[in-house]
Amino acid sequence: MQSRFAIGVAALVLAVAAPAYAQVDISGQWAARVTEDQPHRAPGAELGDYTGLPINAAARQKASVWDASILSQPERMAQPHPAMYFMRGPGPQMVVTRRTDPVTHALVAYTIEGVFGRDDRIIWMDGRPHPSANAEHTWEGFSTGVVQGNRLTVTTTHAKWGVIQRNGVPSSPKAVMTEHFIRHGEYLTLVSIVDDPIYLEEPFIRTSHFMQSANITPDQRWLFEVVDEVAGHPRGYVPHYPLGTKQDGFAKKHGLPFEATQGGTETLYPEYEQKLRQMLRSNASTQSAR
Amino acid sequence: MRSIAFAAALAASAVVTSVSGQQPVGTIPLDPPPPPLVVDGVEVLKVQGQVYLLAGGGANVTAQIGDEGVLLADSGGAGQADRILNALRRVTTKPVRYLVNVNGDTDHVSGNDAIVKAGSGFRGPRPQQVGGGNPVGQNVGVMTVSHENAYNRMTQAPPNGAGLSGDALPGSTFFTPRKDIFANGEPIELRYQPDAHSDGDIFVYFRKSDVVSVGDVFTPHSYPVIDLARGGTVNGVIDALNTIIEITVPERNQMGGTRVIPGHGRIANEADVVDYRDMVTIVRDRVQDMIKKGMTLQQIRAANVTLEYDGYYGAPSGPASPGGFLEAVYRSLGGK
Repeated sequence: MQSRFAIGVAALVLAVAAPAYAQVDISGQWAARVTEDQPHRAPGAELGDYTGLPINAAARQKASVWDASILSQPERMAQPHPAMYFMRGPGPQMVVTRRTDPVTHALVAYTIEGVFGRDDRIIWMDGRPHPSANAEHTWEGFSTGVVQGNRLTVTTTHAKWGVIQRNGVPSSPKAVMTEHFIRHGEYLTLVSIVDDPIYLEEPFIRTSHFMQSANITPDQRWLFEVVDEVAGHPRGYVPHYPLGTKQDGFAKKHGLPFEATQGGTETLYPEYEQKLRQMLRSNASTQSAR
Repeated sequence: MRSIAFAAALAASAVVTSVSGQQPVGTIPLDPPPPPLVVDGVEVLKVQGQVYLLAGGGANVTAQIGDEGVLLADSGGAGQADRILNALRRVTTKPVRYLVNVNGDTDHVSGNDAIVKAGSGFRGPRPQQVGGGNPVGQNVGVMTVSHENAYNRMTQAPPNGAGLSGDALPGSTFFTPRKDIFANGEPIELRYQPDAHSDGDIFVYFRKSDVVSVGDVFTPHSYPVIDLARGGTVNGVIDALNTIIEITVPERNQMGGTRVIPGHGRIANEADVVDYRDMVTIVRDRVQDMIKKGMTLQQIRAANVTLEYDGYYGAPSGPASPGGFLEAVYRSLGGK
């Protein structure tokens, strides 16, 4: 499985890689093209829809008891999206800036401004090490970048607890994200790979696309206001569904076998199609027998 | 002496500033960071204001460093005091003036004796010395403080050890909800957290530096140890976590602001405590529900109650292991 995965990653990177003469500089104003997976990225994935995610049983349990009401906690109302998600979420419409040494003009960092909640990113390009295990974790994490051929490869650690999808599918602070920024002139492709030993059975890969634009206005919501949305909650109120909750609304709505909506490595590969067809046939015969 | 002071000042400037503010990224300084300061395995990290974290000598040690001297919250594990003091000396030559114990656990208090002795003994009369005076004077030495229950626990012998005595025991205790100290130009609140990790937990809240050192009610990388034998309860832990959330104020959008130093593990802020509070609360709610249904501990264990948290928070063995934590929650809620 690992060799197949490695070949898959290599093929993916090669497939989206620009010729060697292409630019590596990713600075500029970039508009997200949300044409791929739009329902997941703008409205957000439905409860119980874990399709395409290589999650393990622990992640499935955490997601299935996740209650969206938790975002009404005063201390969560203003939280931004975490690093492992926000480059995929709605947007971002982003401004990427080269930060150079004022004397040598050497590239020190890229800054990315405009992500939801404005946990804007710094990609350090000066070779500095990642902080120690005792250092604080942040929403944006700590990112370092290196140019590899015609792509910028970024490694992010020190992120907080978060999600990889907006319906409660978790990412842990032990997750490491590797991103390949590949520029094709006016287009920017981002290959994002999340490796989370706590919640993923294998690395989770997504591609996202951006187009150069001249009129990007980064998200202006620098400060989210925390307000009393729901009265009467007791101190320390933590909404969550009971253990064992079966989030099967998505499967029923779309006529899918529940098992096929629950993610996991097996469900990601073409061989699963045979199993899925068999389950659909079985479901159909069960229903016709009723 | 001047050269030592200069070297210490130089070293202090080299300490990694691990915490940054939340200003726009376009205005963040580009200077390369100083190398991490690790002295004989003890890492020194500046948190913010006057507060530092010394990690690697048992439980976390918090140091507030100012013109008057040093206030330490905890003294580390057995045999670690010299390493902790050596690390401290790399950032200041000022004397230790206060030593506060956030609980009575051996990994938090075992360096008490050595640190008091290194600081010319106790400051002020000890209870048994009232009227007898202090050979080095009332204002010289180290003032040591803990909650009364923690003091009492320290006098009791832990498994495979002996109870503390003499200079290792705090010279001052309190039994009220709060005791205040003013040191290095900063108000410091010692806030008692009843029946949480144990019955002697306190927070040390540095109001001007905007840092709170919270001991073992919050350990971001592991389940909390609920020490039932020493008065700990799961509801006390949750209460204490909610108190941290009330104390902390994020700078904006759940980022930065008040920093939290846990008993073990990395520097944190409110958002980290919220995740942790939610985890403990959810596990508590599940176990409570199962107890109401008459389920036994064995049945609860078989129900994968902590499955989604075990990979991150579960220690390989002991009270912070999945089994140890679950049993402590169960017993704490009255499970038989």
